[in-house]
Amino acid sequence: MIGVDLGILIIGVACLGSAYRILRGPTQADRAVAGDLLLFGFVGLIALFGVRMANEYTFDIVLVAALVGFLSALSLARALTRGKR
Amino acid sequence: MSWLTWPFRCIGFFLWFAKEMVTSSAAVLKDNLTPGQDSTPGITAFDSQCRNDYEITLLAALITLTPGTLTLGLNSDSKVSQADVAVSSPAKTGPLTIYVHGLYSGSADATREELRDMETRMLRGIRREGAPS
Amino acid sequence: MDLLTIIGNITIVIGALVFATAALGVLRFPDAYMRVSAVGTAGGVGIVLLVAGALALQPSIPNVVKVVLIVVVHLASSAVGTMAIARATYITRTPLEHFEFDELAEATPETDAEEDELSERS
Repeated sequence: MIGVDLGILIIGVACLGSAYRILRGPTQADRAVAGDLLLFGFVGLIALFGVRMANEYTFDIVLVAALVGFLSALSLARALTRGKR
Repeated sequence: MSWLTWPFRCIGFFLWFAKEMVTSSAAVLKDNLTPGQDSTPGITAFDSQCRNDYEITLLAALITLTPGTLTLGLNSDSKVSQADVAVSSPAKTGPLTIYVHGLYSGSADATREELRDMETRMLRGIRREGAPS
Repeated sequence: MDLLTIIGNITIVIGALVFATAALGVLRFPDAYMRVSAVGTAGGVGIVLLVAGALALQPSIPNVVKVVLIVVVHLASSAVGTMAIARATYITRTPLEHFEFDELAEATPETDAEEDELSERS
């Protein structure tokens, strides 16, 4: 299980990096792109935490996260264009 | 007759695309880890040979999934109308144009070359009657 | 410690390193379009590696079906989301840094009015 712990640590650092880009980002588009990466990082973290705790519903939860995840990207895009198409 | 080989062409294209995804990801990661920038970014207009919304959507999604190339938009005046799809004739309004942001090709023509290769493989994979002429 | 556990752990670490490299790219690359490409490596190869490694740690037949579903659904939905963000990036006139060629700029005169209105409101 040492690989799973290491993976959680590395992805946590990656999420911190994209959070820095969200705070700092020179343009709004940079913030949206970093938010996309943060979403992917959380999907990965859900999978790793589920495996770490030997949860039998891990893959169901990841499947739901992948299904609804793109809504966040779409709403980021809508927010970026301020409701315009 | 050619629809007999269709499942095999489909699987073949799937395997080729998986390989393409890994190699292009490796290119982006390598540029990322080595100091400095060796990319030549630019936006290319690409006239596709796709006939309907299904094919153009699939092509745009595959271009976006390959790291290093990114679909920015579709030309909106030559969009395939529902009437064209209904009578299943080729689009009369001219080719659909996709705008692609490419990273490592060097020039617009090189990007077009790569996209044409990918599109031909995709159409050979998903059309039952085979590749476009 | 059987073979499948070792393979799963190694795959998970490789996937996490892909994520770390993508985050480094988001921090390092000069403009938003190249950052989208860096995120694409994490959203494609990174997630697939992580989920495959998690599958190797909890192997069963239903889990294989779920992982195949996850990979297909995630690739399709992340492509749609990434395209939406990329299009919104171009519409809001985010500047391209050191580009070599741009064939979209001279090809889209009809959206100029909309973009002007948009940039006035922002």
